[in-house]
Amino acid sequence: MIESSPLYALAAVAVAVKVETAQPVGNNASNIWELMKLGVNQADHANITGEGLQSLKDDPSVQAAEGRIGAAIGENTSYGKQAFSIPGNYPTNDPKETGFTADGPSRNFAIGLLTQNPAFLMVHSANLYANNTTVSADGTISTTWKVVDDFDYLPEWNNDSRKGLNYWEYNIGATIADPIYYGLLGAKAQVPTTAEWNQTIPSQSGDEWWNDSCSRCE
Amino acid sequence: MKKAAFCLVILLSISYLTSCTPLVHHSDRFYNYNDSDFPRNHFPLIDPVEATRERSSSPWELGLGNTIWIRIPNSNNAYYGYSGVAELEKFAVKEDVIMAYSSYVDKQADAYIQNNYYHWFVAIPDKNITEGFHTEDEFDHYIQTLGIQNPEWQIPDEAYKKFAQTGCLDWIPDCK
Repeated sequence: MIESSPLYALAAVAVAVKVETAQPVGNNASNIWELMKLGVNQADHANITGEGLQSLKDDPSVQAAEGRIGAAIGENTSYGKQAFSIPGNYPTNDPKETGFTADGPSRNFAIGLLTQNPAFLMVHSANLYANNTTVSADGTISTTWKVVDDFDYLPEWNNDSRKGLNYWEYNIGATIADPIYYGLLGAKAQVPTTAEWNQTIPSQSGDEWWNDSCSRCE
Repeated sequence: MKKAAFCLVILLSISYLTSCTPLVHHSDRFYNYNDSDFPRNHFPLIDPVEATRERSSSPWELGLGNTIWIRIPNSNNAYYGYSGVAELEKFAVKEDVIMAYSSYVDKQADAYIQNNYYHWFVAIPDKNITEGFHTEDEFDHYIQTLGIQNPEWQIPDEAYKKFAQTGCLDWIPDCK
């Protein structure tokens, strides 16, 4: 129904032009248009870089997840006493620790959308892991933060995991984007997406981790 | 014909209204159905431990609250952390004790960890206790020290179904 309106057709053409003229370098996407172009090109995966990566690093919900994971690493009995390492991804199976919803600095869905926040548009809900972490004897943590997601605009009207306002916000947005991204542009259903950055975190006590993550998320 | 249509409308209205029974609202928001903006199915066990899954076709995962750190032998002080129970198959709640079982093995983990993977778990959030066990015998022995025998196991799908319909589960404080 909405697809037949002139305004929608105009928006569809504008989006199509933006996507078609985007020029991702290899599998790297620094903004939403490059990421959509990779989807249209049927890319097997995408790396978020540049402006998109910076937006993720700056997002309060991502920083809160960093704080939670850092605090959990700080609970290791070797922390602050001797050097240790955590091979692979950590945490392994705790979405409450790893999960985040990037709505931008305001932490508000509508403002994230209206300001075209890159983290909001390119990732929104995903998981964060600390990859191949090393901790020195003095408690300094060196890690590669890794965001893992699947980029798509598939409406999920039958998925009851989205609740309340989030259910309507996501599904209305995806229903509007779906005919353009998949119908008009013929994009791949889901593109596995990652974003990575290194960080060295000075020694902190458990309370400092907690206070730091909470001051960022409020 | 009009009368039949009228009756049908009344019947549909009644069935719609009864399906909209409000969920129980808890004083501790952790136990509420809509406690999180992160889009996942979830149901609470004991604050802060809850079971979650990404969508209805995904396996359930149980966040343990505290990580169980295992030092990997013959390594340069490398650790593996159990931060949750993947592919949760059954669980039980007895007063302040949470018990869980999963046959899952993390195929990305070190070979030693894979060969000695924990399948049985006990968490007591109030006491900051989180323990993992390889066998049911080890698990049984431990819960007996807590005064628990023959836990009443629950299936995550069934618990979630009840929670989504009522907002209540037997172990939630203001549902008892």
